[in-house]
Amino acid sequence: MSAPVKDVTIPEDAPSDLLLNKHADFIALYGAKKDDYEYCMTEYLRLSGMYWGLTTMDLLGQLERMDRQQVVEFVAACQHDCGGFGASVGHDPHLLYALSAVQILTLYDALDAVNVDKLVEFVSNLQQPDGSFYGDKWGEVDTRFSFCAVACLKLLGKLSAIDVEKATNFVLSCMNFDGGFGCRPGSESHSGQIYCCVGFLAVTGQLHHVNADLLGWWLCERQLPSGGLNGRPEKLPDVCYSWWVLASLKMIGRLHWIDKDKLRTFILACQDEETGGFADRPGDMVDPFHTLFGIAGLSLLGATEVKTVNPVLCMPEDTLRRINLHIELLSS
Amino acid sequence: MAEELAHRILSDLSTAFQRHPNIDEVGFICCPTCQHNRSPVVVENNKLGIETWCLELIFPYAHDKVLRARSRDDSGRKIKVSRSARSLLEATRAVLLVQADCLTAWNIRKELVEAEDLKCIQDLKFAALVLTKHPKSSETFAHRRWLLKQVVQKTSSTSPQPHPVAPASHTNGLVAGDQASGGATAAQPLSAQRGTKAELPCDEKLLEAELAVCQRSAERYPSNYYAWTHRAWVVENVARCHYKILMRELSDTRHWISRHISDHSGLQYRQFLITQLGTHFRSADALQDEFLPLLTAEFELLTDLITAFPGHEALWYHRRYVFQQWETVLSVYKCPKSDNSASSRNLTHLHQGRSDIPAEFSRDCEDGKPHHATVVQGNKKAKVDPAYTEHLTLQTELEFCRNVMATCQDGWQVRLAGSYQHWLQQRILGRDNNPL
Ligand SMILES: [Zn+2]
Repeated sequence: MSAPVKDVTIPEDAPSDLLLNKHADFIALYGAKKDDYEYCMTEYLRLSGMYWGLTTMDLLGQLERMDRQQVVEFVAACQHDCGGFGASVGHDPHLLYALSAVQILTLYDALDAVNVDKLVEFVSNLQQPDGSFYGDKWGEVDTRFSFCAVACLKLLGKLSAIDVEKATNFVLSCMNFDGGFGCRPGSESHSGQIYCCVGFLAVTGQLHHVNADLLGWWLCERQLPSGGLNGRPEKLPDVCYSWWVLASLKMIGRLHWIDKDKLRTFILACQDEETGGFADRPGDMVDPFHTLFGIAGLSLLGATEVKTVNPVLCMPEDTLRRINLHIELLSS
Repeated sequence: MAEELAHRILSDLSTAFQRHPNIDEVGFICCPTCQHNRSPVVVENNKLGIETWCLELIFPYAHDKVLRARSRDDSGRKIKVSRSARSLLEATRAVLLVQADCLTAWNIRKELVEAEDLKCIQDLKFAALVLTKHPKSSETFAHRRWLLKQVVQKTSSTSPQPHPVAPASHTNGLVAGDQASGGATAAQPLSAQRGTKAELPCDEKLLEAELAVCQRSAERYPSNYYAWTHRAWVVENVARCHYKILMRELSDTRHWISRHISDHSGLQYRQFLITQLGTHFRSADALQDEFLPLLTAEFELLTDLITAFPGHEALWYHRRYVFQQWETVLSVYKCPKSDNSASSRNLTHLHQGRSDIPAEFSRDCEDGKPHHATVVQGNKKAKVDPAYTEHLTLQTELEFCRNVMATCQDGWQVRLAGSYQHWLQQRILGRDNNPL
C-alpha cells in the first residue's frame, strides 16, 4: 500500500526561459482592468496586490510603466485618522496593509504623501504587554503581524517606537522543537510563518536565536523530486512557498543546501507563455501574487535579467540602498 | 437593471434564511448563465445553493453597500450612516458567503454584536456556514475567536472561574518553561486540577459545537492550518486546557488520524495536546505512570501506521516529536533538582557529561533559565522503569530506520526513513558538539 509522492510532473514542453517582457505586460494589464468581478473580489487585499505588482515591475526594471501619481494618491486615500491603512478606500485599517502601503511608498520614494507619525503611532499602539501584535483593534494575534510591525517601522527608521525585546520574546515563544515557527505559541511550523519570524529576527538583528542547522534542514526537506518546494509536509509544491522557504534559507545562510537548478526549472515551468505571469504550479491560472514570488525566487537563485531582491523585505536591493537600509543575514 | 436584479436576488437570499433558519451548508451551483425563469437561490434539506451566474451581480452590489457603511466625507471623516442593522446584516452576509476573507465585512458584524443588533451565538452559526464553503478562511476563524472571547467573557463575569492554566512552554515542550516553573506555589492549580473533579471552566455545549466546526473544516480541507490552530486555541482559551478535555481530544483524534495519515496539521494538534498534558503530570510518579505510557502508545500507533501506510512524511515528522518528548522526560528523571537561583555556571557544571539532554535543553540551562527539573516535585531522581528506557532509546529508533531501509520496497518510504535517521544523528551530533 504505497502512496505516490505528493508532487507534480513538469511537462516536457514547459517554459524553461524567463519571459521577462510577458510578465511586465501581464502586470501592467492586470492593474488596468478595474471593472471586472475578479477585481472587485480582490479589493479586500488591494494594497497588497498593488505591492506585488509594483515590486514585480521594479524587479523587472519597468516600474516607470506604472502611473506613480495615481498610485501614491490611492495609497494616501487608504490612510485612516488613526494612522493605519485599509486594503482599499473604505476598508478597515490593518497592519497587513500598513506594511504594503509603506513598501509601495518606499519604492516610489513618496513617504511624504502620508502621515508617517500617525502611522508609527498606529503600529506601536497595537503592541501588547506580552510583546505580540494585534493585527487591528479587534485583537487577533499572529506572528505575521509581528513581522509587519517591525518591517514597517524599519522602513520608516522608527524601530525604537516599540519594545523590541518583548516583541522578540513573543516571536521566540512561537519556535517549535523542529526549529520552525507557527502563528502563535504551540502552533504548527509553517513556511509562511517561518519566513515572517525569521524575517522579524533579521530586521531586529537577532538571527542568532535561530537554530540554523535544525531549521535549515527542515526547510530543505520541503524540496520535492520535481524541484519545487512545499510549505509543510505532504503539501504540493508551490511557487509562493518556494519563495518563503528560499528567502528563509537565504536569511539563515543555508541557501546552498537545496538543489537550485531543479528549483529554477520548477519556477520557470510555472510561467504562462501566452498571458505572461506565474501560477502556483505548472499549468494553473496565473496571478500577480505568484508572479512576484516567481520573479523574486529566480532573483535569489541568481537570475541576472532581474534586479537583486532583498530576502527579508521582498523589495529591490537598490531601493533599500537608496534609503540606507541594511539588514545583516547569517553567513553560510 | 443589473442593480435591480441584484437587489431582488439579495432579497431572495434573505427570504431563504428566514424560511430555513437551520441552513447548515452552502455551495455554488455551477451554472454560467441564467437559464430558467426562477431564482438562483435554492434550499434543499437545509442546504443552500447559489447559482454561479448571479455571483458577479450580487457580490459587487453587496460589497458596495458594505463600503457605504464606511464612507467618509471630503475631509476624510467618517460619515455616520444610520443604515439599518438588517440591511447591513444582509449585505455583509452576501459578501462573506462569496468572499470570506473580507475583514471589513466581519468587522461590521462585530460592531453589530457590540450594538446588540446581532447575537454572538447567531453569528457563530453564520460563520460556521461560511466555513462549509470556505473551510480555510483565516478571517472567518479570527472572527470566531473574537465572538468566542465575548461569550467566554460574559460567562466568566457571571460565574466564578477556576485558576487559569498556564500554557506549556512550547519551545521545549513538557514541563520546561518560565510559566510552569515560575515558582512552585504559583504552579499549584495545575496539579490540583487534574486529580480533583474540577468542573469544566466553560459551557460544554459551546465547546462541543466549536470542536465540531473545527472537525468539519478539517474534513473539508486536508492539513487545514487554520482549523487545527483554531482548535488548539479553543482548547486553551475556552476549555482552559482542562485535563479531561485534553485526554478526550487525544482519544477522539486518534481514530481520525488513522484515517488521515497525511494530515500534518491533525498530527501536530496531537503534539499540542501531548505537550499540554505534560504540564499536568507534575510528579515523577505521574510522569512515569501516566505520561510515559501515553508516549509509548503514540510510538506504537506510529509504528503501526508507518508500516501499514508507507511513504507518509507527516507520520515520520510526528515520530520526531514523540522521540523528542521521550528524551525530554528521561532527562527530567536524570537531572537532579536545581536551584532557581543557581548561576548558569553551576547549571553548566550540572549537565556536564550527560548525554541524554537534548541540545535545546542544554542551551536553556546556558541561558540561566531555571531547569525544567525544578517542577518535578520533591527530589526523586532516576526513578525510571528500565524497561522503558531499554526498549525505546535512540538505538532502537535507529534500528527502526535501518529496518525500513533494508526491507521496504517503497523508494519514498526509504527516503523518509533516511531523513529521520539523519535527524536523529544530528541530535546526537548537536549534543556532542555542544560546548557544554
Ligand atoms: Zn501559492
